[in-house]
Amino acid sequence: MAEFYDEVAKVLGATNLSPLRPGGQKRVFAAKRGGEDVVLKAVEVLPPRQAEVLERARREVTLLAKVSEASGRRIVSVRSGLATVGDPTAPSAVGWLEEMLDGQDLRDLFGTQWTRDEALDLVRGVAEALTYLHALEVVHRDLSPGNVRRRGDGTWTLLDPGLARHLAEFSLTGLYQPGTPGFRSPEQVPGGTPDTYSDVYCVGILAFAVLTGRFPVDPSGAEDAYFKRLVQQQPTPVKTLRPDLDEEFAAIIDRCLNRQPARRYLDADELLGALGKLTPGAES
Amino acid sequence: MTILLHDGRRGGHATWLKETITAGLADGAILNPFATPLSAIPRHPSATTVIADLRDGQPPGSAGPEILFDSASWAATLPGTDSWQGYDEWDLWPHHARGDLSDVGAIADHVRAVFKVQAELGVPYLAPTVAIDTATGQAAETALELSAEASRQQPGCKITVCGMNSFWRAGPALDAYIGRLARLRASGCYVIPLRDRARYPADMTDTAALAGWLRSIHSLSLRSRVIAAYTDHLGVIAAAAGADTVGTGWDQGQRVCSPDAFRTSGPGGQNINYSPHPGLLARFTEAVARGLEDLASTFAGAMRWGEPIPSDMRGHREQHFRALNEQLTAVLNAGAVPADRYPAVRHMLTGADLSWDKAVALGAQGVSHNEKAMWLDGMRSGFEAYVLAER
Repeated sequence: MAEFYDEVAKVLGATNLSPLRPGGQKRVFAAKRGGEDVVLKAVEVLPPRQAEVLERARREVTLLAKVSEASGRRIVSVRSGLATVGDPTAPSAVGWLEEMLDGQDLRDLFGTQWTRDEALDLVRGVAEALTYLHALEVVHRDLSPGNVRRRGDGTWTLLDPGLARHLAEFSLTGLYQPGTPGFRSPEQVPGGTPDTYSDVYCVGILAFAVLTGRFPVDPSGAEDAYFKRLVQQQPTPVKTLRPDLDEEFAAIIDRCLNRQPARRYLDADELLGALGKLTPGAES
Repeated sequence: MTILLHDGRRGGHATWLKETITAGLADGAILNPFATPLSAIPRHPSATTVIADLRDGQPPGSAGPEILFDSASWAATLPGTDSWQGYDEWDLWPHHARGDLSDVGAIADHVRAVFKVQAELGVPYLAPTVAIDTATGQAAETALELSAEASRQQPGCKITVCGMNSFWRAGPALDAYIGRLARLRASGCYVIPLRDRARYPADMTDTAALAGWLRSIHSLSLRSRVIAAYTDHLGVIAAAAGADTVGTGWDQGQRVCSPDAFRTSGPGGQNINYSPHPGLLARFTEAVARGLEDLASTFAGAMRWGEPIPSDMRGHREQHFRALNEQLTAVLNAGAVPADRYPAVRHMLTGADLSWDKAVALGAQGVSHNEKAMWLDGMRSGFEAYVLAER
């Protein structure tokens, strides 16, 4: 019996599947369609959350189609519509194709202390990509290293806005909050209300992590304790761990990481405005 | 620093507004539909007349006094409010029952009606809201929807936040809510601390609530103007946190906001004869002030900053606003950002603390540790808790 992702690949005309991520309800493969290298994303639609899974997949494809071209390759491009297996109104699986990105995942680049200019390039690149989502009142909600990639030409690109929340639409998540431990904002705790400033916080996490090799809020231990630290603890100023940083860039990172959302940049556009004053090569 | 006078129901109130503003002791007024009628009644001119009178005689090109109209929807939707005389004359709830904010249509209609009234009065747009008990409850969501709808209808409007102590003490949940409000990018925030009890001075025993109120003022002031409504002498610490405007008045209902002010069984106008003692950050009844004066006239005079004990109502009012103005100016002059103002406020609070100890030791009636706790200790604790969290 064929696996659900084989069925999805068949509908989409994709061949030569090679897994990119471990299994689960959502599977990701490198694939070929015609002569093009693509990424296949296939989702098994299982009870009892079929409607939610279907809606989320539909949103992701619609969102990608809407923003990827306009973003100048800063959001990954979609290469197909949403394909369904079985009854289109109650499919057993859904899937779609995305462009195959060259370059490296941010997670592959972790582990060394980055220079100030490398970190500035990352923050500016991710913020530029986020402006396209925030302009649509969409919050990414999972800015973890696996979802941030530097292309071969140096362009930073965001992937997997499948957990994105359109602020004008009813949240699908309820008490469940998506996100990756270590890369969550204080609003991404059960019952929280993530907004564009939550993505700004997560940009701050990425910057803090690449500059210091640490998380601004320690995610280790019990999840409840991590959530409590997230909402109550103001992260250490980045300059205490990287005294070589210039005041201006350090202040921007610290403001991104303010525990209180009203005191952060409210969205990527504001953050970019602040970054606009910084130039490469301004180490203190 | 701007001082705005809240509306009141006292007969002749409009004349006092005009006198106080003309004397340069206040910068404007905040009217509301519970206190100022749409159409004139004996001793209460209409809102249009009050506004015209306040603006009358301004030099050409002058902006004139600042005048706001707070629709006080937060009061109209409080359980127990029954002081509808005059209020219902205003057309603030078209197509819906008074207080009905049950769906998006009702919310939009109410916001539209409030803005229509404000446009007709020629005053800036100030969004309506409801009183919030908890930062994550239904009232908080309704208040956010009202603010968001107002910002959609009039992008340059000011928004209103009216919170009970339980809201201001909500810690991280409060901060998260204030973030959601900040996202609206309103041009200003009109912040009301709604007290459980009508008492002057306001009950300041809830240190966490006082600190949360200050922290919220601080957060909101980073990107817009903050009007600390019904704040009176607590304006000293509100200004330290970033408020640029303080709401006050002569009666208890103008200085402290509580549900009682909107109930027919409420206390009505009081406190008219309080004698300011800015050196103690307190106001005393005339009897207490005279008792202190009899025991140590030099010390008592210094606590009044050299002013005599007022001999009439006008003197009480004028001294109060003069003292408030001077205190607020001292705080603002201490620095452009909150952190630069903390030392000045701490100096003020510490000085008042020492003076209170001296005053209590004199044994004057009505000047005891209890009064000190009411006037000073709560304010000091709330301020210090706020400052500590800012480090």
